[in-house]
Amino acid sequence: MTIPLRAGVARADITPPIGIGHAGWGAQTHQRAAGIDLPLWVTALAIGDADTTVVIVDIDCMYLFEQEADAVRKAIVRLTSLPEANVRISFTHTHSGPVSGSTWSAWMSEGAELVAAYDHSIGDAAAGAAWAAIRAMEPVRIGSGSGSSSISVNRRYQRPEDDVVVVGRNPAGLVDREVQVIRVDTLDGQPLATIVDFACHPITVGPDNDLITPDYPGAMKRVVEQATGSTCLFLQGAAHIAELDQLRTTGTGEEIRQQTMLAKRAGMRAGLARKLAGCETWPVEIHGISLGEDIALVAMAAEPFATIGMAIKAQSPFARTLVSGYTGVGWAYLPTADAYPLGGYEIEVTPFAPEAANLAAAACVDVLGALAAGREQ
Amino acid sequence: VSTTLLAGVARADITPPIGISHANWGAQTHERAAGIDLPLTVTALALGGGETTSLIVDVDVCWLWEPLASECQAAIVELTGLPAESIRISYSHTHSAPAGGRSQSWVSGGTEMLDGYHENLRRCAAGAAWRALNSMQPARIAATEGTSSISVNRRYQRPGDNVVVVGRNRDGILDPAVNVLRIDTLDGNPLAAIVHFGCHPITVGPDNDQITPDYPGVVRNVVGEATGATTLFLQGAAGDVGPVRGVASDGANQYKRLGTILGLEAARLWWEADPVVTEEQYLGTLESGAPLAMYADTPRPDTPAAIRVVRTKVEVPVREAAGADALAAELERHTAELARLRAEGGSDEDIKLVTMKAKRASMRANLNRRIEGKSTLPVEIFATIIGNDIALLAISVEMFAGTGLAIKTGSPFAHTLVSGYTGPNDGYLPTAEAYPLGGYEIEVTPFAAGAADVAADAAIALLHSLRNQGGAS
Repeated sequence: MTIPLRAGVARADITPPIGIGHAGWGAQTHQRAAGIDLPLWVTALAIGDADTTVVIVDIDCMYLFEQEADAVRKAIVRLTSLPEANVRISFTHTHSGPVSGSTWSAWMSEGAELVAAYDHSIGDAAAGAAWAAIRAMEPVRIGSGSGSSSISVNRRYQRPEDDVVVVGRNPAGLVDREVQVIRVDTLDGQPLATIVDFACHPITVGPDNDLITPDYPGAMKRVVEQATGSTCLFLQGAAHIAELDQLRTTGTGEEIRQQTMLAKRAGMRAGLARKLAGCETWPVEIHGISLGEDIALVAMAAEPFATIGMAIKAQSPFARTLVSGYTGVGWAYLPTADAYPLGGYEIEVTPFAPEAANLAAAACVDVLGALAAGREQ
Repeated sequence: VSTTLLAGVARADITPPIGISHANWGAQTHERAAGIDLPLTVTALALGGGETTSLIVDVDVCWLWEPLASECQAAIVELTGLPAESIRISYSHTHSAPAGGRSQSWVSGGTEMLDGYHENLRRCAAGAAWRALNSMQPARIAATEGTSSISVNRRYQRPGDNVVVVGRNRDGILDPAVNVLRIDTLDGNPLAAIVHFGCHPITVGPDNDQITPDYPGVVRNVVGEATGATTLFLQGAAGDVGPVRGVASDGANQYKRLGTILGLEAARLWWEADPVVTEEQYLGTLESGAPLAMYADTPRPDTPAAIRVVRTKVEVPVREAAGADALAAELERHTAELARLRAEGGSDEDIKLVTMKAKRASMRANLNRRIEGKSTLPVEIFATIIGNDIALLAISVEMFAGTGLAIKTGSPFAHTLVSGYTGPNDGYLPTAEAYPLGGYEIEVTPFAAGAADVAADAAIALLHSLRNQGGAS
């Protein structure tokens, strides 16, 4: 399929300083990152037609929360002069990057002092990459494809001793194995950019690890780039119940681990309480982009369960729809209604009522419908 | 359980000299190879288990003929001391390798290099085999299967006169399966891989005057780089199967693309297949930000696999012979005409036309010499069995996809890799239903319409007998 689009791509390194607070895990005993296993990147893809330019920014980090995410987006808007709605920032959700913002570093006594400067540097790096991507735009052709991968498993496991749902391997649970790929070539057939969309928590590297790494999305980008010559972006799908089927969780240091865990959960609940005080509903940002007749990308500022992504895909008017969480400004788990009676971690910490998932899914489908209507004008 | 065996692998470069005769296409105008696009290789894999050692050799030639097949085997036997029954020599069937011996009498330029090249080739094959045997070490093996979209049935009925030509028949029978065998050292390092797929390596067509292994060479390189394993390519049942792109145009670009597509799929399968089979046990919960289930993924015990090798012959029916004298005279006439055109600077169009006529006359004459006065011809069957689940079965012909599928379906093994292109090439073995439609493969086959079923039945019976022998464990 050939459509008259232009695109450009650029990347910046956002590997943090060794020694930064490193805390994707309640069960960890270390506080500071002891080294770099694989660098972190911010990768920007600018894409546009005669009227509209959007930039998709893929950031190797666990999550940017309200304040930091907003600052990054504003930095991009400032440098590129794009409207805010045309900037999509997405997080890979690696659990082996630095902590982000004051909320998440509150329980740490070491390494948190490096976080504010690092968070600020992400904004500058993302803005620079977005700006360079826009400047590099040239006419392109776009294609898309779909396959599947076996690396993920539903992670809501009812443990045998008391039927409590913990993060484990539930091979009988629903999971979306689809791998979607968007390929962007220059008009003379040279590789320019690739978007890979897949839903699976990047928690392969577990709490015992004290090294900085983008987890499997970083390895994936490097493999794709070596094999194709294009610059690769990873967009995390609706991954909240999918995780890699190899989780490393053995080790020692139980006491410190227990305290860290309690502190982290208390931090999460406190954040939740502040957010919810006096509210009956909570806004969730939804971001939609359509490329030509066939391709749409829709994303929300939440961690949606896999079946939400599948439901949106099934109802989309586009032939190819990439559904993501981990995007924009805002954070919360978004479990499906059927998960509430079973309980478990995600249910404990979500601010949402059981009907929230269906409302968010319907809103995403509405966004896709509006994009499709625009397509026909 | 995890399956263990002894394995060793080695490779030698068999890239020929530039200027060697390069002639596997009737429609070509050049005679000598003008350069090297990608090196040619010979790769040997030695497998040991129980009392038996087996050797599988993957060599980049278009085909093996006599006496080259026997000479390669003799060189390996001489250097390694292995019995001939334990040696399987398979060829990738690239059509962009040097010409296949002096039987291709319509070519003259570059044939002076062929004897020296083939002498070197068989010594390289023997050296690689010797090194593979000497480097055998304990290893684990896993087998897996996926699919690839790079091939299409090639028997295309062209519009107008319904003649079957080599093209794209999207409704034709096809086996898209990619089989991968992964062999790791006991400490988990990559050692060797076998990639098995059925598709004629004719992506690079008659306009190409460069030496290349076609897509199988790209597959070996892509898998080797992505996994670290030295990779063999085994050609499947590809008699009626061709690449989806290339052949008559843009082949030099398309073979790299198709080889990369197949190679990346094989590499993915390699990474997915873990030779260490583990048993999962839930240990308890680690309280973290979220409660994390802890598991022990304990390796199951290693179980040594027996290797079994059978090499046998089956007689299959041949078609009726034509008049030998008339065929020989026709070949002589076209060859003389071609020599005259080249000497007098004839047009490319005329040279293409007469080269095509000479090539086809040569194939018909060779065919006729083999079947005159006979009702059957022997074809060779090679079977290599690894443990209880993996069978590699090869026949010394160019099998059609339907025959490969029939053998795979009839096999009692969980993984059966069915190949042609092994040992001396005895010709196309078309399925019975292909005969009424005619076309190139039917014109040049020595076999009668029932031959493919006879060969398939013999192969299936052999696999069942081997399964029963191994069934005790």
